[in-house]
Amino acid sequence: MTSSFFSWERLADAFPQILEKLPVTFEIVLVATVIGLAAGTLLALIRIKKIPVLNQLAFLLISFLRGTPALVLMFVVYYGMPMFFRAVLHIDLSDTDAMVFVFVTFGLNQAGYMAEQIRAAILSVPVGQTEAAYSVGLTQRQAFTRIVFPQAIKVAIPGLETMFVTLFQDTALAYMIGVVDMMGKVKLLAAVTFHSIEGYTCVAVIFIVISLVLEKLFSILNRKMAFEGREEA
Amino acid sequence: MNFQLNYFLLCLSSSFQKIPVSLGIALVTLLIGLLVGTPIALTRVFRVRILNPVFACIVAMVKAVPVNLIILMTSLWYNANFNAVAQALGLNITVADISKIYVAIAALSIAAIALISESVRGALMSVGKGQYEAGYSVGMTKFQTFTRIIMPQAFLVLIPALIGNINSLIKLSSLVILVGVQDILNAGIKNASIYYCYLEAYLAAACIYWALSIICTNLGKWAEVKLGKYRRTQA
Amino acid sequence: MIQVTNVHKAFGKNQVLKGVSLTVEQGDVIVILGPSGSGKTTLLRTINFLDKADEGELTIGGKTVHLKNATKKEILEVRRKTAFVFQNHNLFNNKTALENVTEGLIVARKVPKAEAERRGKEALDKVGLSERYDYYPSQLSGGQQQRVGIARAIVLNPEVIMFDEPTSALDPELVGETLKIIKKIAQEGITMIVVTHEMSFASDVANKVVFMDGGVIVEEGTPEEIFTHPKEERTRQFLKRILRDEEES
Repeated sequence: MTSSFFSWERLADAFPQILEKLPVTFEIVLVATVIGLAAGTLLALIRIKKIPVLNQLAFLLISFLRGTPALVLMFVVYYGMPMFFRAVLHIDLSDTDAMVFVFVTFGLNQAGYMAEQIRAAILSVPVGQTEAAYSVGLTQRQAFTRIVFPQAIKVAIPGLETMFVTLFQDTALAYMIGVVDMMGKVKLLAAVTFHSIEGYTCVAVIFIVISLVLEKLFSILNRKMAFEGREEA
Repeated sequence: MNFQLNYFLLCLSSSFQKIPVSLGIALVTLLIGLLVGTPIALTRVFRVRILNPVFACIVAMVKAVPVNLIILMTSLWYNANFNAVAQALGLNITVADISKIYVAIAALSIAAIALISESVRGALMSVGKGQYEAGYSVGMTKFQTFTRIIMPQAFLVLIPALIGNINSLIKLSSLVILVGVQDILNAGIKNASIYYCYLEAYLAAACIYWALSIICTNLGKWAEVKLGKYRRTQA
Repeated sequence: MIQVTNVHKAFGKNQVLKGVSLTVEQGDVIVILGPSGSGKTTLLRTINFLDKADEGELTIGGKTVHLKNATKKEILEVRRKTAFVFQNHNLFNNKTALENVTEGLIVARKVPKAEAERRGKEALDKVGLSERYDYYPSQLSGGQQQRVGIARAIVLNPEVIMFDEPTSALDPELVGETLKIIKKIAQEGITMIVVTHEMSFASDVANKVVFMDGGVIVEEGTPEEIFTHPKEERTRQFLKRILRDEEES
């Protein structure tokens, strides 16, 4: 039973073909992070400045993005975006690559989480820092970009690490709307060989390696930040 | 084709009726996570030889693998091996006799154990070394110090963390669609395949998950304020 | 009589205690002075097994235990004959002031609850906290917390109380009241070993002053001997520096 369930030979066959699709995962993560960082910062600033109406809308949007499973959000975007574009902007998205919907999904998803992280980090910088900046003649903008923001980033980094790892894992859902990433490749291979456990094992191993590398990278980043001399209470 | 409000309401209603299923899956996995995750956390906090690094490694590995992948692999393994295992145990049942929901719970439990063992560990670590020393200094044993001084304090930190875990588990439970359990998400999609109202179905499910998440978030905040009373930390 | 002999302790490569011996007679108030890093706090902690010494012996209540190889039972016995007041109080955060004081009696020494509470209230009264029985640590000021810490120690009626820099975590205006209470207890004849930087306390209250530096006891004697006729150069240097600092502040 078990021998036909799992075979090392099939695993060895599948591994290089699956690994070939790893760049797709990186691409999704990269684009989603850029979108998330930009949109998340914008949402955070709207919330901090308490801009009327926009503040309430941002609050609702963040809460929705954080409260919805990535899988569900992905399908809402996949079915909703073409409908919205056709009805409101009269643009036809029926030929659009599935990757676009994946980018939007995970970009929005990241924006929701990042907005809260960034907001909390900025608010964690004491008011005295801003006041000190004003006292030496900096403008509001200078005070924010030169004094507050660099301190906030250090506070935000540990939280961003968790989000980053989660983002990597969530991309493993993208195959469900037809993107051929590592998971999609397992499906394609399974259609021929009728075996997928070996393929899934490969993907699992690759994800474990990714998380090890990420942990190492972030610990280096954290140490570097710590050396730059922010005193811990 | 445009957004159909009547279909949306229909999906909302069928999804709503399945809240107990998703909530049930989340709570059962939380319980399993606590039962298995707590001993794991203890071996790690007290740095038990061999077990500590072994569990640290397993937990890190499980946390690294996407949960949908865990579900798919568990389900594959289960379908391929259940009959043989049942036969070996002398049970007169086959794979078809067992509800898919158990497979879903088993698979999600793997993720829950890793998640919750980390919450328990974090809660225990949040109690400072000085509290142990104070207990020892008045002559309490390790066990007395742990049960009377450390555990009650860790508990206050653990409760909000567990509410956060429930929130995550409810969202993760949407993945049971992969093994075909009728939950919040699947109930809506069933309508979608009849009326071709996919957006309405997913949006309805999204709204219900959203509402549950808002409830959890507020419950967590409330618990944190309520329980935070005694734990203003000293320098 | 309490006696520690030849205590060695290293943290990694850092040799903190290099063979310290100390004899404490019944009713002694011993103050240990010395620059930071001299090993004073570590000495106190090894006596209570909060840090495990690498070598050394402890005799207390007529029984000698090895500081490194003591069994769990022996450690517990020593801890039940001693009490410890921490620099940062370490009150049980989940217990009220009264519960903090009675915990060691009820749980570790099996004193009946009613009697423990009576003795606990008595101890809290003694440190001037009659009004604060049911307050949690987070509701008390630093000085009040430290007084609960002192009550928690005296209620146990131990053979010796060890004070680890009991006033260094307090605001300057609270130091005086705390020292006054420690002095009051000392005058009741309770044996104590106090690590502190408060010179006036040492000269007023101690009957023996020990000067430590670099992991060894450099000199010991009466306050009179140490403060006015120190024999060792290192002691003289230390006192000169401290007195200058005190004058400046």
